[in-house]
Amino acid sequence: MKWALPILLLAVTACDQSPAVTFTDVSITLPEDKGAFPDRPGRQAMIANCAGCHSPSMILTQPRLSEEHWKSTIKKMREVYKAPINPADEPDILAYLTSGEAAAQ
Amino acid sequence: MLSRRALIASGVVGAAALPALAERFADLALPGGPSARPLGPIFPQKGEMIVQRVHPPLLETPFDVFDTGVITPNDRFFVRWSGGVMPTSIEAKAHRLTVRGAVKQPVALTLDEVAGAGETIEVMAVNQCAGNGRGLQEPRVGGAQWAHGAMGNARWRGVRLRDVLDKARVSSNAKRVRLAGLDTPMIDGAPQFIKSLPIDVARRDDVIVAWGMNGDMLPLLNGYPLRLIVPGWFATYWVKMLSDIEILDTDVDDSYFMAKTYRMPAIPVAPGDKDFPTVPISSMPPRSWITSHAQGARVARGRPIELRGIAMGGDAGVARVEVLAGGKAIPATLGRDEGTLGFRRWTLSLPPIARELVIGARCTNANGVTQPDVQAWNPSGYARNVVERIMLVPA
Repeated sequence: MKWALPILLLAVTACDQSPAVTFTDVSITLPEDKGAFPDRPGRQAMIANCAGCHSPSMILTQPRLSEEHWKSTIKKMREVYKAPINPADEPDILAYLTSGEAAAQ
Repeated sequence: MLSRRALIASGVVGAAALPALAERFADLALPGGPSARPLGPIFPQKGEMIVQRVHPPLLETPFDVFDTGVITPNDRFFVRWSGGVMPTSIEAKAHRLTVRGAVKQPVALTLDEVAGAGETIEVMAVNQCAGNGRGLQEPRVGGAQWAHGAMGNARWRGVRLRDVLDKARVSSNAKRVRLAGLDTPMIDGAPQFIKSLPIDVARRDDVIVAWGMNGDMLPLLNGYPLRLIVPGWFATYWVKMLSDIEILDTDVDDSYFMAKTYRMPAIPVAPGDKDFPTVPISSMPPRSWITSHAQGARVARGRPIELRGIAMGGDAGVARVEVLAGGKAIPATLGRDEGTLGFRRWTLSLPPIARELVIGARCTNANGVTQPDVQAWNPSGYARNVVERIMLVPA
């Protein structure tokens, strides 16, 4: 890191006074996800194994990627993120991920 | 008035040829696609955003917002939550920020105690996702498929992190500062999203624990009640809903999001390469964008073209911006410096054109680092800063 001290001094503006800040309770309701996996072979396996943790759009917005890439993604989801992916569903999941246009709706 | 050009610049296109789930879509023009993204649903405390993912939220700022000024409004500021569970409510009195580890006196601070830990200061800085522009890199790679809108610039208000650390009397052998927020892994046993900074960065004059953003409180989706601000560094370190600080007495942090991901190749690599050395992603390089005209914009013949854009210096201020056009590098006029590590406005009146012309903006920062014409590919699509080009078409 090459940090130039004068730049840092310019970047920081001390406030004239420190008006009291009031922290309030905040609560939000996240919108419902109406996105869905388009119907093609393997859809049920996608719903059962993938959609529990993240929106279908995470997958549907991906570019065309290799089967090797998707295999390593499944491995990462299982081993790192502990996703309970049913090994018996894996061929269907892979078929879905590599079929047609990733975003074909 | 919404001109055709503005419509194109905003990426808003007709929904006729696109998926029929929302009424409005953005076309991100990602090479090879898919490029259509819904502009809904609308999220709490947010206006219209490009919805990359509803759950957990990934919301991109529509590009036309960047033409409206150097400050990104809170309700248009991008949102990125990792793959865990993010709390949807904050009880202010119950929130604690713990400081523990290599300290003489572990503490659990209330929000009022954090706010009173030192002088309240305001810092303007760009918050940019390491993967901003990932969807534009070729060959394409997996991950959140952002165009340019996983970034924003704000005035952040808070207290210096070092003043908070001093409450716990950090040991003299402290090496790193590890930060955690309230978000938790989706499934037990998965890694928590924690990040760490070298102690000298953590103690910098402009690294703050913020609650304020552009004169208001942080939106919950942007990390209310507390968010770490690390000007010049990628957003992955700007931990949201900050709740725990652990001082490490070792230089090595083997936690997942430091040791296994958010890393860049240390050597040039090609698609398919494996087992190359990597380093954690850290500070940002300079970038710039043309915001007044979009790809394929039509311009009036015989008239000068009034170009406008934004630039950022990354981990140093903006020294200059040039517009590359027809083999020339034409200096642009910089707007006022409103905050060294924030966005900087630039303008340039380009002579009339008689035929199609490809132009690009190129920023050089105060450290002498210039945006490259061609950027090395990397397998995670991180740290894009290649010169961004558009074609102008005389009409």
